[in-house]
This record gives sequence, structure tokens and C-alpha cells, in this order.
Amino acid sequence: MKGRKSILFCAVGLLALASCKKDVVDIPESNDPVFRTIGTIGTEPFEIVAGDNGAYMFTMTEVQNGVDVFSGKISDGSFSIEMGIYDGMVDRPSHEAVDIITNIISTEFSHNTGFPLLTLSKDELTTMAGSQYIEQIVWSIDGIYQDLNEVVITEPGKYYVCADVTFLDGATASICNEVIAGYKLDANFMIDFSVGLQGAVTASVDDMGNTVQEVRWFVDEDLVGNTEYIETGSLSGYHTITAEVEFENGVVRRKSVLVDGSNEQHTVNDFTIFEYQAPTTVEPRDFNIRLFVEKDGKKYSSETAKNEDAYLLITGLEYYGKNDAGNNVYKVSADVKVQVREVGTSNTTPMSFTTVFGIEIP
Amino acid sequence: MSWTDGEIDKLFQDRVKDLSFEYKGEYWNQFNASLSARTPEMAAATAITDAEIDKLYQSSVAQLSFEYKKEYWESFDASRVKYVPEVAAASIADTVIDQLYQANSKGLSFEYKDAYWTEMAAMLPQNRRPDFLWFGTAAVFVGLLIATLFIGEPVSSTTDRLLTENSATIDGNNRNKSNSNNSANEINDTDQVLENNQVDNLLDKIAENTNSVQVLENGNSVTTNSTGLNSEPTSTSESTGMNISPSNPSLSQNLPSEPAIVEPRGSAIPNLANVNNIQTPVTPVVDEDIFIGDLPTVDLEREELDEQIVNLQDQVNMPDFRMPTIPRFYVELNGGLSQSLITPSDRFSSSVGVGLGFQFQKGRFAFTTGVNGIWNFHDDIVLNRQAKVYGFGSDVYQYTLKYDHIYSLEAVLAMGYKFGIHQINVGIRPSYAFGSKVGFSLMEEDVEMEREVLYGHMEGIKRFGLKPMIGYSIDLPSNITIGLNIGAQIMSSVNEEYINGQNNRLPIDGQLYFRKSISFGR
Repeated sequence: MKGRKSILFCAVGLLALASCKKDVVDIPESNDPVFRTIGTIGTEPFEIVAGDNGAYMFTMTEVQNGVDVFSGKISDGSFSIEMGIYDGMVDRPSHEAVDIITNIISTEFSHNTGFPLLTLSKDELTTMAGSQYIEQIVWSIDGIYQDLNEVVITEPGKYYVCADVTFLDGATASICNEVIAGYKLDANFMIDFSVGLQGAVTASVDDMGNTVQEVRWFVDEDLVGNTEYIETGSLSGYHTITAEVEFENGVVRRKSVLVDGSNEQHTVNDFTIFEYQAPTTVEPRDFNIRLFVEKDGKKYSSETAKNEDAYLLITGLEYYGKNDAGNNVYKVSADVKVQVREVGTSNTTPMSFTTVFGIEIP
Repeated sequence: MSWTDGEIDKLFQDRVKDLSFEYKGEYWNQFNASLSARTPEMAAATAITDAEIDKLYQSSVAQLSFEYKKEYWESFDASRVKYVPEVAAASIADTVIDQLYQANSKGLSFEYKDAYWTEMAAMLPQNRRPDFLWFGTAAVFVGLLIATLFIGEPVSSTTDRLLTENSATIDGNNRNKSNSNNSANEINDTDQVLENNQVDNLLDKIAENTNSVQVLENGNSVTTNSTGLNSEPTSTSESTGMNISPSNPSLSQNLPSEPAIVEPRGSAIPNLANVNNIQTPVTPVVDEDIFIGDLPTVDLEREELDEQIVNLQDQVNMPDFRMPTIPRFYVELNGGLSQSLITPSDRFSSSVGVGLGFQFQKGRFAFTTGVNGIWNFHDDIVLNRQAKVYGFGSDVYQYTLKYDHIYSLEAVLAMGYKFGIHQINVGIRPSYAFGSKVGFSLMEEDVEMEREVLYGHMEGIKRFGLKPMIGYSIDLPSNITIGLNIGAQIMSSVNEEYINGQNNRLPIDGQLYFRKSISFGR
């Protein structure tokens, strides 16, 4: 019996030895290229493979006129293709771009027509009662001086526009607002306000027919209430009344007016009138594609070429991983046919290719 | 006018048909002498090779042409001897032909040349499945081994029972002799008490069973017809006294198997020792009876007992009688050397191991089964690979995996033939590799990124192996056995996809082992 126990003990020991923990070695294995583009530009074929001949797939999110462009660029140093997808729903800050992009099958190329998308006009602004005493406006966009009294915006974007106002009495003040041009707006509003004799300001939201879910009022960036309208106490000097409105459809807009409790002529409306009067014939740029090519020192862009017949057919889109910046990268498989125009010239070149492209979508 | 051959022939025959010459032996001798008396010039003239003759002949006849005429052929055909089977059969008998053939063939001899064999070997079909023999042998062996488990009983159960009864009877009878005044006797170590008539009945069974044992003298003595067993009544003695005549080896058939032999102590061992010493038939002498109770105890190991029994059987041509096939357990230490598992390689692999198992013997055949834990040492099972991993760009990795140690479990299934202390074994050793020690290093763009020792990485190793083997072992005192096995791995050992090189086909290994047999229980 003792011997049998010894044998059993040995057998169990051997089994335990055999079933002990195994180290797992992460042996790198060769794989096929992940990102590649093969096609023709003009009549010249090209193939660029990330990982071969020094080519690399860069992925990034660029900002074009205040709007994200989810981009990737494959380049070997002498030849590069950069492709980006403009964000959309720019008035909905909480939207998930990836959810929308992954459901896109086909989209259009963006096109910079040069046509006015939105005009910042002193004259237009002074048609409103609250801005009728403005003598002059110096416009600046995103901190950059633009022009005096009138500025035409031809590129879509989400701009931060500031107006340095000179009133008829020579007083000056500044007011800034967000202005969206060339993108679809799903809701909008403007602030109605009035200044009382004692310098008290009454303000309310004109929802322009959209369903408001919540309003937050700020005076000089201090939250003062979340009711439909506010009545402030006596305000002396310039003050900014801001309303942040969240609509039921998820749109969130923030607009400001300038008031002076001690002088009811020193007021400026928000800039909603410019968005409201923008031409509606322009196709919004939401989730459009842009393409830049650089070859032999020449730069080409799809946005300056006519691309009525161009298409980008997405045949696959899947998550790939994170890039060096730690942002999510998606692998987009697509068939592309597009016209690109050499920058600075009128030369247009047809281009078609099949690609597996990396695009960062945070 | 030109003469045709036929006309010349006819003219010649007409002229010579009336000619006659007296034959004289000296004519022939003279002619024969003229043949041998060739001058050197003649010899030189005839020293011409067959090839030259052929060439000369061909060049000469190349210009010849003969006019074919049908009558020539008819003439020739008519001159041929027609083959008639009956005539041929009658002309020479088969036996004569046979004799002629045999007489002439005795003189034939052929020179052996290696080239002949090489040529013939090349003509032989290639064996496309050389492993089949190994697998077949292994399967047959395993089958035999399993079958042996079922045929391991030395005698039938009925015979066993009778023998046991006989044993009890003899023992009881002996005791009865020392207690003749008693009607019941104590039998052996048991408390069983047998009546005299019961003893008689049992003795009758012995007689019936053996056909050579008779019950004599009121059942108090057992003897054989001729020599055999003579168990005399010793009514005054306190000791038992089974008298065994050394000249009657057939008695062994009726000897109790289990009670008398299994216990290497007491009176049974001297019995066997005495029986084993029977070398020549001797006239039974009652005076030379062995008094078992006074014999010294002989310290014999079980295997020695087996050996002696086998020797006895051989000497007296006894029917098969063996001890029960009780396994003997053993522990083992082993070490080995092997050809490399891969090729090309000029390295050797070594191994050490420990194991346990058991062995049982049936006659001269010994069956061994066990399991060893083997620690194999290698220095040539290496994987060098370069991997280009694509992603946003690409990274080139150079990594090395070196299998330093492979740990495996190896079963032993062997059958041996014993002669004395020597044993020849054949068997198989299936194995299962369960672990490894691997040195791993990783370089990226010529910069070492990682170096570590891994355990259990088995990607390059095939887990299952099978080695047919032959071996020799010798039994040493103190239940130690030393043996040597030579085996060849018939299954591929490495995964060529993950190893530099290819599987070495049938790498041979040698294994030296030391076994210590262990007796458990009784």
C-alpha cells in the first residue's frame, strides 16, 4: 500500500510538472502590409505601401476653419497622398463622428468654389434694433483681422468672429460670437434683449421654431440663470450677456450680445443674422472628403477641382488601433476616382486608386 | 562463262564421290601438330582482338552481295533436321537431361562483384513507407503485452485449487503423523482442523489429479509408484517430516505453488533448493530424506527463485510451472546520448531522467512497463527568424529561439528474454514532450530589445515521439539492474516551420539505465 501511494505521488507530481504554467513568448510574425494605395495619377501608375521604401502611414486630426478633419497621409518622402474626412454636425458637440463615418458608404469630395457662404456685414447688423447705433466694425476671425465693416466667408467652417465696434458717439466695444458657415445647421436661435432705464437688462431666447431643451444665461461669463429669460439688475458699463441653448435634437449653440446699462445705444446683437441670411444652395461640407497629393514636388488638391463625377466608395471600415498620439485609428478601404488640381495652376489631373487608408478618428 | 555455286558444288561432289582415303591416326596427329606449331609471326597474326575481327569481318562483308534465289532457301530448308517432339522425347530422357544439367552446373561458378548487388538494389522498388515496419512491430508488441496480462496465470484456477488442497493435505498429513493419537489435526498456520477421513479424501484428490500419487498406509504416507514422494509416518516426532526423494522431480507438479514458494522463509525454501539440486536421477533412498524443519533458511530473491525454477524445468523437461506473475516495481535513473534531432547538424543531444515502473516475468520472458521523466539537453535546436511587421510603417525584428532543454515523459514498453542474469529486450518508448527551456532574444533594427529565458514554449517541438528499441541488461546483486537501450526516433521531433534545419530521420540514441527493484507488501 505504501508503494502504491508512492507511485501515485510520483504520478501526480509528474502531472503537475506537465501542467505547470507556460511562458508565453510574443514572437513577432511577418504580416502583410496594412496600409497601401495603388492606382494611377494621370496615366502614371503608382503604388505606395506603408512600411516599404520608407513609406509611412501618418494619421492625425487636423482642424480646418474650426472643424475637425479626420485624416491620414501615406508618404514615402517623394510621393504622398493625404485624405481627410471633414467632421459634420458641427453644431452638435456631443455627436460621435465615428458612428456616422462608419455608416457612410459613399460620400462626396469637398469643393472650394470661392462663392460667398456667409457675409459679415455692418450694414446687415445695423438693421437690427440692438445694433442700430454702430458706426463701424472691424472684423476679425479666429483672432485674425479681416476687414472693416464687411467680410465675405467663402470656406466652410466654424469661426469665432469678433467685432470691434465703434458707435456713433465714438465709443468702442467688442463682441464675439461663433459663426458657422458651409455646414448644416439643425437648430438656431438669437437673443432678444432690451436695456431698461435703470440699466437693467431683460433677455430672452428666440428659438426660431426649434425646441429648446435647456438655456443657461451668463453675464460676463458668470452663470446667472437657466430660465427662458433673465432680468438683470442695474448694469453700468459694457457687459456681455450670453445664452447657451441646448436643443432637443442635440444642437448646442452659444451666442452673446453686448449691452451697456448706462447707455442703451451701446448695444450689439449676436451674429445670428449672418447665418440666417447665408445662401442655402450651397451643399454643406459635413463628412465630405478632401484629398491632397504631392508628387515630384508638385501639390495637388481635390478641393479646387470640379468633382461632380468623383466618388469615394467605402468598401470597408474597421478599427485598427491607436497611433503614437494614443488616438484611435480606423482602417478605411475604398475605391476612389477624383480630379485633383495642381495648386497654383489650372492643371487638373484625373486620379483613381484603391486604398486601404488609415484615418484617425478620436 | 561463269559457274554458279550450285554447279561448282555439283562438280565437286561428282569428283569426290568415288574418292576414298584410309584414315590413320598419325594423320590426325600430324595435322594437330601443325596446328600447335605456329610460328611467332603466325601467333602475332592471330593475336587480334575480337573487336578487330568484328571490324574486319564487317568491312569485308560490307561489299558482298549475294543473289537470292528461292531454290537456295528450299535446299537449305530441306537440309534442316525437322524437330519432332516424339522423336526428341524418345531420344533423350528427362532424367538424362537432369543428370547432364546437374553434372555441368556443378562446374559453374560466378564471381561476386559489388556492382552486381548495387545494380540489383537499384532495381528493387523503394520502400515508400519505412515506418510501417516500426509501427507494425510496435503494435504487435503492445498487443502481446496486453494479451500477456490475460494469460499471466500460470495454471488454471481449478488446478490451483486442487494444488492448494493438496498442499493442505500433505501438510495436514505430516502434522497428522506427529499427532497420530489425535482424531483431528491442526493444519499449517491456519486453524483449520481436518478429520482423518477428510485427509484421506484430499489425498485421493491428489492421486486423481496427478495419476502418479497414491495414498498408502491409511493415508499417513504419500509416495509415488516408482520413486517419488515418500512421506513416512513419524508418530513420535514432534516435527513434520515430508520426505522428498530427489530423484522424483515430477513431484514438483504437485507441490503447492503459492504457500510453498511465495514465502521465502521457513521450510518451503529448502524444499525448492533441494529440488533444484537434483542433477542426476538417483535411486530413491529413504535414508537420504530431508528433514525440512532442520534445513537452514536460504535467502533467495524472487527473481532468483524464478530463475531456479526455470532452470529446473529446463533440466527435467517439466511442463510449464511458474510462480504467479507478480510485478516487481522499480525505480530508474538513466542517461543517454542521441544524434541530433535535426539535420544538418554535427551535434549530439544528451539526456538524464528518472522513472519508475514494474516488471513481471513469465518463464524466461520479462515484460517491463514504466514511465520516465526525461530531461533532454540540446544545443542545436535553434530558430533564427526575421520578421517584418507592417503597421503604420514596418519594423524588422530578428529573433532567436534556442531550445536548451526539453522535458518529456517517456513510457517504456519492453519485452525481454532472460538467460541467467542477462536479458535482451525489445520494445518501444513512446514519449510526450510537455515543457521546454528556451532562450529568447529579440533584436529590432540591430538593437537588442529583449532577452529572456522562457519555459514551456513548445511551438518548435512536436510533442509526441516513438522510439523502437533494443536493449541489454544485466542483473546485479541487491536488486540492481544495469541496462543499455539503443533506439531510434521514428517520428519527426521538431516543427520544421519553427526550427532551422530539417528533421533528422531516425536519429539513434543510446540510453544507459540503472534500476533498483523494490518489493512491496509480503
